[in-house]
Amino acid sequence: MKVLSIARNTFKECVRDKVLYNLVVFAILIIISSLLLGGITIGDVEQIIVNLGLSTLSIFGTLISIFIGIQLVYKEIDRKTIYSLLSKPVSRAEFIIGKFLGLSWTLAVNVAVMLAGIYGAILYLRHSVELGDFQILLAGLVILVELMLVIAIALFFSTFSTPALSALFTFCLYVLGHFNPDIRHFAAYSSSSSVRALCGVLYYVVPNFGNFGLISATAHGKPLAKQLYLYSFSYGLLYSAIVLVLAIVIFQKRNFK
Amino acid sequence: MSWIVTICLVSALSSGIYFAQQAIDAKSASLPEAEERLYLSSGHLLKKLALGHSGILADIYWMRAVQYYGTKRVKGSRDFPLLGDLIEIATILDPHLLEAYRFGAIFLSEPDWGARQPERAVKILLRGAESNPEHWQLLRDLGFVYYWYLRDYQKAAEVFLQGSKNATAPVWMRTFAADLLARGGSRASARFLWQELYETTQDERMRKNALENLIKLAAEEDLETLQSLVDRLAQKSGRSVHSLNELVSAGLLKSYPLDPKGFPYTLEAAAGKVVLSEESTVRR
Repeated sequence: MKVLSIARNTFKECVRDKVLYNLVVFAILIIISSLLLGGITIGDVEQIIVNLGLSTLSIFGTLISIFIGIQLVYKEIDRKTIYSLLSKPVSRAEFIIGKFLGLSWTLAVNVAVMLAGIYGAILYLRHSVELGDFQILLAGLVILVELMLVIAIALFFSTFSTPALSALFTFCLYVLGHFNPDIRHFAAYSSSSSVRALCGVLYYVVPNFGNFGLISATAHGKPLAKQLYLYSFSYGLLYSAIVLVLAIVIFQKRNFK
Repeated sequence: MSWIVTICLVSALSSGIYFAQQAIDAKSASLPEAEERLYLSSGHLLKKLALGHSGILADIYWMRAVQYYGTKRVKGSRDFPLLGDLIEIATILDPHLLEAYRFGAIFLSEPDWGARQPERAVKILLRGAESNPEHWQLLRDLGFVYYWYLRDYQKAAEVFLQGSKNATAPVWMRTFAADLLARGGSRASARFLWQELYETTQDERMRKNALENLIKLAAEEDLETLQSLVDRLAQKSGRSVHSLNELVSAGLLKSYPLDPKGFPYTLEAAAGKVVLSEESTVRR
């Protein structure tokens, strides 16, 4: 229950910080695209709308996850409210999990509204919604899990570093995570067994953000195996849990005196 | 600050911005045009840098290719140096972007209003067919490029035959391949292909292009027929023919011949050759 209270307060703080205003920019983008794309390109406009909508959802969500995520702990320390918070019967673990859930909840609202916007654009263009469009919802949920992982990483770094460095580390890990498959390819071509071993370990240690890359396939309407969604969800949630555990361990050892 | 003062201040500043922009636009018109350049021309590098958003980046590059082509055409330019690179980048970023392969191949191959690079179109279509083996249309388009733009009937027949192996491909691809090997570049084969394209494509621009080429083929056939009539009349009368009206007077034609777009055919008296009139909008 304490976790949920912290989560609820974190959500309210994010709303008060006008995080959800990014939805206005998104709405304008989608509306303009729906009206103009047919005249400036050749091809399936719906495909572009889905690509644009899901990519925008991912990019905006990642920026929010990083820049709000790094502030979640830091703000409490900076305002000195951390002392009154931790003097209450709230464990540090509950504090971290509550913060994580609060921002995740904010992003879930963000994702829900953006998905509604995408479906609205499709309805406007096609005047119908088909069963195959359910894939867009699934892709949105996969992106949400990806964003939760980014929040967890930002939260992790913010437990021991300054906001600027936390943002930098989180962004670097996010970029590295997209090059993860190249680490394995590099290992395959290396003649050194130690390099191969190191790359093999790195492949599993560095979060593989490529696992969440279903946007293009969804835009093309290519049917994907249900197991792929399940494995992507599981990977994201498990990895987030590991990172949160590490964040809690570091936060518990931190001295605020 | 009161509302009236605010409105007046914003209006005054906005007018200033308007006039400043006008002045900049007027001065910029006299500046030399910037050299066309693609700073990042590697599709594979862009795919890495896209961080999982290669789909939307592909759409942006394809849109850019369409706008680049359209702008050049409007300006009457016949050079499209960046077109091939833009299409290639779009198709590397998204190997399933079918429009880029199909329309891109036409834009690249067309000799009159395109980039005149059919070899580049072949390269792009080959990659498209490899990435999308279920889409026989890409092999149809590849066969078409070999047939119409490169006049390589052997290769065209091979490609049509390969495409016909797809279970969903139409039957005509196999028979057409055999016909190509037998008769090469006959007008009947060309007419068949353009007709097939006209009837099956959903895009208005592609249909219009197919129609223009069908009209061109019809005009070529007319010119051949008229030329043989002129030659026949010249042989019969023992003198050269000076006007197509003579064919009407001799009873060889019912009325003065018009091309498919309604423009009169002309006879070049000096050469004795029947040609399209200069005003005719039939493609040459």
